[in-house]
Amino acid sequence: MPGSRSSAAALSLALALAACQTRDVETRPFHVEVARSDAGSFLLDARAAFRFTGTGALLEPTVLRVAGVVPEGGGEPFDVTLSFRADATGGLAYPAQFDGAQLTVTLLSDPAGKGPVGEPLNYPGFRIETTGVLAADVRQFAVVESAYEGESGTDAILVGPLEIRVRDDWTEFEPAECGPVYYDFLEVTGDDEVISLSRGERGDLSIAAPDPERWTVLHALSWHRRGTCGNQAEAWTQFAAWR
Amino acid sequence: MRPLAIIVVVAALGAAGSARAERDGPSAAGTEPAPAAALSQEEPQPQPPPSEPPPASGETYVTGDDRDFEPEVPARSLALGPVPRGGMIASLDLGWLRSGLRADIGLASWLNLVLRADSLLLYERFGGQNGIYAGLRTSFTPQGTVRGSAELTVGQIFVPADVATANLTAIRGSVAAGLVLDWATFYGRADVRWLSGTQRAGPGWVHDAELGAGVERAIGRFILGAEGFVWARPGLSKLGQWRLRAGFAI
Repeated sequence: MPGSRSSAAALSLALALAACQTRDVETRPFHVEVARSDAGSFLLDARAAFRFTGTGALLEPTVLRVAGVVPEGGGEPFDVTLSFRADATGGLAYPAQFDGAQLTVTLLSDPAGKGPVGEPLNYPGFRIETTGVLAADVRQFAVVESAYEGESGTDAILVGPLEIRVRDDWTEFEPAECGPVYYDFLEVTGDDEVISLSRGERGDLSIAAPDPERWTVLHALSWHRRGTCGNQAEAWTQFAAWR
Repeated sequence: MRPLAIIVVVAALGAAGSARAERDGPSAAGTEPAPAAALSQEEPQPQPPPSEPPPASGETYVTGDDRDFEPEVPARSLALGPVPRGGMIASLDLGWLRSGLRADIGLASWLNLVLRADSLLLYERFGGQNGIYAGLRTSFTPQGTVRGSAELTVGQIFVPADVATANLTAIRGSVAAGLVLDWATFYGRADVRWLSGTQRAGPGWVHDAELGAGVERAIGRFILGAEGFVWARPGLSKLGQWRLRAGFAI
């Protein structure tokens, strides 16, 4: 019957159009939060890096208080609490050795920083190290995440002795609403080797020859978009490293 | 090209000669025929049908066109093949995410050359991933109701980027099996695809898979089909996909 045939055709077309699914990449930033016990702020008018020392206290696996921070210009010491989201990537936590240790913190701040969907994200990363006489006694822990522009990867991102680049890749993508989102990889340079890490992968390598400890780098996620909606970032990277 | 039919025409000369000597022996010797021989001449023995298996060794065959021979053409199928030797099926896929053109060319009754091109037409037109591929497909039990096929293709995918076009190497292996009925063909298929960028460093080969089912109907030289499948990627969520297919046998 012509009527039933056209109904079936219309139903098929409707089902087909309904099946044109899009899916965006699932991004869970570390979302570093910094709280000071005094009224001060680490946010200036532009990007900045702060370096301070204090005594560590692990409040939770992903919450660390650095107590007794002395301001550069002098004044009353204050405490700084550094935290990141526990569900950002599986199992990432501060090293237990930080509890009670003397710590040196390098904190990056960016008042215009934004996250993957355009939300404010003012602290793109930090590096914390314990003090020690021997290199083997020094524990280090770094978290970095940032939106950036373009689809050609990044220049070298230096985190202490680490040299890390985001390289664009085109093999895997998500069909997002405003264009595909391609998953990128990290290229980490060591003493005599270069390793590539896809999303979710971790690798270890030697950075400084006299240092017997090897660094471990965890690549949480990196991607770039071919088309954005609203305030979405063009590109994003997120990783952690420790030794 | 019309296939040649093999017809058994003459039995072995030696066997035939000795048989004729036995049957006509007295006449050939110039003697009176025996009653039994006369009876056999009046009532000739029935000839074996041409399709019977040939007799013992020493036989002779004559080959040539059999004008009454009608070759059995397997029911046409885009998903399962095969395309008969010398034939071709051109087809168009319209789907989400991928659409494409495809040509299956018959190299033998069970082997096809596959040429394919695809893009993310409905999603990104030609601004996404555009690929060209070539490979082979073999079909099992091409005349049967239950039919299967295996395919291997190699190709390049071109991704337009801001600075230059990125190239990927793609290798796809596919197996399909289904039921070829008079009024429709039902099938299932499973594909695995390996992809690699051309840059020296990088994640190396990554792979994904497709698992799907579809239905086809051949109408004369035309074949129409629809298929749904799941695009599975390690560590990433699965995505439902579909495609509509139309082919024409040339």
